[in-house]
Amino acid sequence: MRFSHKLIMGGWLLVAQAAIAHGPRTMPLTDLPVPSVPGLVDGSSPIVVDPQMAVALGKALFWDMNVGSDGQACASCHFHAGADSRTKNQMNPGEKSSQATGQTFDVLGSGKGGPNHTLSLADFPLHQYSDPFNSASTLIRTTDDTVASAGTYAGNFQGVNQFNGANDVCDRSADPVFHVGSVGTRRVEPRNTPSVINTIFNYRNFWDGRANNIFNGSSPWGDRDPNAGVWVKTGARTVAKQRLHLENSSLASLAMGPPLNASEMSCVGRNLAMLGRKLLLRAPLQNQKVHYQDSVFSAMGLTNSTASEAKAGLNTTYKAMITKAFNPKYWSYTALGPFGAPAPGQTPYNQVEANFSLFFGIALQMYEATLISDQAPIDLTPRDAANDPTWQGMGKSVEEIASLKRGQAIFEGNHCLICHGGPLATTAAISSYSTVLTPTPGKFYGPAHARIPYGPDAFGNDGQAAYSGLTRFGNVVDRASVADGSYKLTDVGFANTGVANPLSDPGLNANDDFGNPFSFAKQYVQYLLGNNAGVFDPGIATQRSCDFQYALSFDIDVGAIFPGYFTAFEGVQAEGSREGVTLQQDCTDPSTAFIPTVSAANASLTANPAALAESTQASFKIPSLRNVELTGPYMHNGGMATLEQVLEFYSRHGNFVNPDQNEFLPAISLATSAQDRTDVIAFLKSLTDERVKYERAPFDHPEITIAHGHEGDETSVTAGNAISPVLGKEEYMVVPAVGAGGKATPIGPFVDQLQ
Amino acid sequence: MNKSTKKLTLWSAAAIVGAGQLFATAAQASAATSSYVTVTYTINSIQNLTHPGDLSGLDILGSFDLASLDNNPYQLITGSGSVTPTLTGTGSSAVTGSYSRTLQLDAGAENWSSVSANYLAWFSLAFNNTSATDSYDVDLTLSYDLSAAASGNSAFSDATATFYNEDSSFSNFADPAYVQAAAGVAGFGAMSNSHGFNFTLAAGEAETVYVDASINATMAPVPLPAAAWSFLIGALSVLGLKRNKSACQSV
Repeated sequence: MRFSHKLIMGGWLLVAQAAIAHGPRTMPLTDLPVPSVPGLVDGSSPIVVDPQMAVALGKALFWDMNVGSDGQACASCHFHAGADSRTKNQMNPGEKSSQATGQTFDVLGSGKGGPNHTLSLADFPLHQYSDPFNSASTLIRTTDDTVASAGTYAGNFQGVNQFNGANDVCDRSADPVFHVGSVGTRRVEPRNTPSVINTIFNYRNFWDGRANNIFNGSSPWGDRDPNAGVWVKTGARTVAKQRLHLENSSLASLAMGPPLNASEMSCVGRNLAMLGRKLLLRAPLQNQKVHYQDSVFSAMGLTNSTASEAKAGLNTTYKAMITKAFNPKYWSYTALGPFGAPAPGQTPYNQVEANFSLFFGIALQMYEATLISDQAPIDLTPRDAANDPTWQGMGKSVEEIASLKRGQAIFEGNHCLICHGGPLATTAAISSYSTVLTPTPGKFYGPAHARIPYGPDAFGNDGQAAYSGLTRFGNVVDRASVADGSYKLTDVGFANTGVANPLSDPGLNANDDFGNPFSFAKQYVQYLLGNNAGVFDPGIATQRSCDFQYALSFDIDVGAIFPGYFTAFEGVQAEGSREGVTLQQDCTDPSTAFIPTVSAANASLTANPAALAESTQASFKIPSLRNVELTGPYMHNGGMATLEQVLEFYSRHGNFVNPDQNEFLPAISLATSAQDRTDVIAFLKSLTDERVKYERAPFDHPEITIAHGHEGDETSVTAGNAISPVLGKEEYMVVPAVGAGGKATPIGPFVDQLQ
Repeated sequence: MNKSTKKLTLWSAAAIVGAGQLFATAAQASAATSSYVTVTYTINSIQNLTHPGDLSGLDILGSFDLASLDNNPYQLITGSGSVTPTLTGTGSSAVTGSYSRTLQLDAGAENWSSVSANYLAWFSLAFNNTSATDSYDVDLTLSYDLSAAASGNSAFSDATATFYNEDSSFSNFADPAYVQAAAGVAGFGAMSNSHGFNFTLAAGEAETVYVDASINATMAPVPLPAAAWSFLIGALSVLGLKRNKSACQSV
């Protein structure tokens, strides 16, 4: 006998997802706890012994053009509200695509495109319909090209200079993809640059989640990398390579990528010990002016500048900063030990060089952890008894306040919170969210005038957070509903909204350098199948299916296989029972606190394939909407230039209906009312922190000169770059140094840069 | 052709004397470093707790030399560069009141030459109670001076000292000492410190206080005036080649 589908849904699912406000609400970011990193600055032998110096080291490394092989700093792509507002030479042909078109450039809406093209309004959106609110109307144009960020010329790495010059010695040639005629242009990386601000809260980073939550000291892959480690002085005269396992350190993992990436910052074949050799004996920010009131460097007396004269560089070296910031066991080994050498006949590495990946990753993470924008209007507004913003006393007119309130209600009513939920407006902030969702007497977050107690209602009354699968237990896996109406295992904090052809970029559905999938959902399936060799990241075995948005198993025998679910008919066991622990307490729905037995799971692969199905194709990390006003162009492919275009995208329920598209896209009703969309945009703009707009501390920074296209256009480029005669002459954007007090004029949205 | 090889060949062939010399040093080099580590053990008092006044059962031996390890000392010199270590009083010797030794490393390089050197020395003072019956109480002060200086351009030197006793039990040994000097950035660094120790050796026991100290000197001077360094976004070797040619022509 089979129960009707509807009855089962009512009995075992969460409250039906009607068009009511639901999901973790946009609470203030103030005092949201940064995820703890055990052992970093605490414990009996902390890695960092001077956190203030580590932050200064990280700020210097982030802005220093000497880090790249040819003038690229991290900030070269992360300088405008933490993202990139450049318009020239920003096109990638779609290199993440599995199709041949990903290697060739398309003509965009302006009639032009490709290397050294200057973007204009006519190029956006990349996927354009005759009626932007109707995806059944005529498709005017589409492309798998992406609007991203120009990086390095690449080339084969040969050596570094330890004292002078930004450029590494590399074998340079005109790139086979990025060139105009025979003249080489800077390569462009394949995905739009997200903002670095507030990323300390993300459980994982990069659009595809490959920057692992665990930092292993030398690569982005966390525990997955068998060769990773750091050199530790173990005794008076002994040093040994040891494994490192630093939790909640995805930003340190991330930092291992771009400085070695041949589209972003580096010639091919460089390693981080070599980067250390290049930088250690130099003054940080050697050729870049530092503001005499820099919020980090001035407070520590590190800047050479005065009120009357701006000077370049800090008054120390990278090596000196490292010896002050880090535990001596990572740098004080006195012999030239077993660290290898760059090449036969060259000076062997010392311990500081061998551990440079550790210092680089951690310093950058500690600096980036200071980039939290928690003073936006949404944070500062007074709140009423229901903790809703009142917007009073902030200089807003009656009409503005009404628009903000309507905008927030429409945002919530259209299910946006399910993905863009909580104070960060993304569910990717798993660890911090789980902390404040844990009932903790006496603990609050939020501004002084509107304190919010920790507990299941921390993001809205009646447990709103649970609608997104968010609980105190911090699941990284969920079970969601996708476009074809089926339920699939997914990664928390990731979603497919149908921005582009799913074949153009697999997103989360890809593998690391060892052939193992990024996805947590895939690893969870392997765990359920009893294949522990298929589990690479920590925490997979303790996922709680009773908190999933849609149930996986229930302990009732319906007398037959119930497609898409596990029941006692096939065999279920209590959650945690495989490990001998109890995971059934404080469940969102206790009747679902079960997992299939190993044999039931394996049998389902043929008998009930929908049960263990997962959805990861073209699923991308949900970006935070904080400062979204300033961080265009939008989406992983940079395909939309304005917030209006983004709302048009949602109004028409996405660009590509595909099997993995999130269930809520078709439920969005924004197409009919222009006022609704105006109101939502007004609400989104309330997430902009004024300090980000005016680059006030902690968003102040040194001077940086950023490559911005080449002399000429997309049809012809002047050759004769000083680096190599076959490379194009550079055009530059100079971003002047800014001190703690910020700039006089605010930075603006990306669209202001377009003609 | 390998660009870095070409660059090195030109440097050794150029031998520009005097041009671009920014600082007067005794070695007439365009970059110079001078660094040292001095370690002094001072025995404040020794007492025979069993037979007061009888110090015959306690052997005290001081020792100082380059560490006998692969890759030590290390040096890589191209062109007109020099490395001059100074270690006086190497080997082992009996000690009564105090024992002081210095590891010094001077290095210099002309323009277009380079030096990379690393010297590691081991200092120690060993106490051996050879008596079968007596205990000794020792009061000792370990003091050390580190100094690093770098002048010219593109020159760097640092000194590191680590300290420990036989079983690593002396708690005030935790932190190493470190100084550095980077020409044009912060050309001089120095520090001094001292630690006191008091320990008792029963019959047949021994204790040693070790200092391992290394000095590094790295330099690769080029004849550019300081103001031009702020424009060094182009390839250094290209800029250098042009400078080289014009300098030759003016001579």
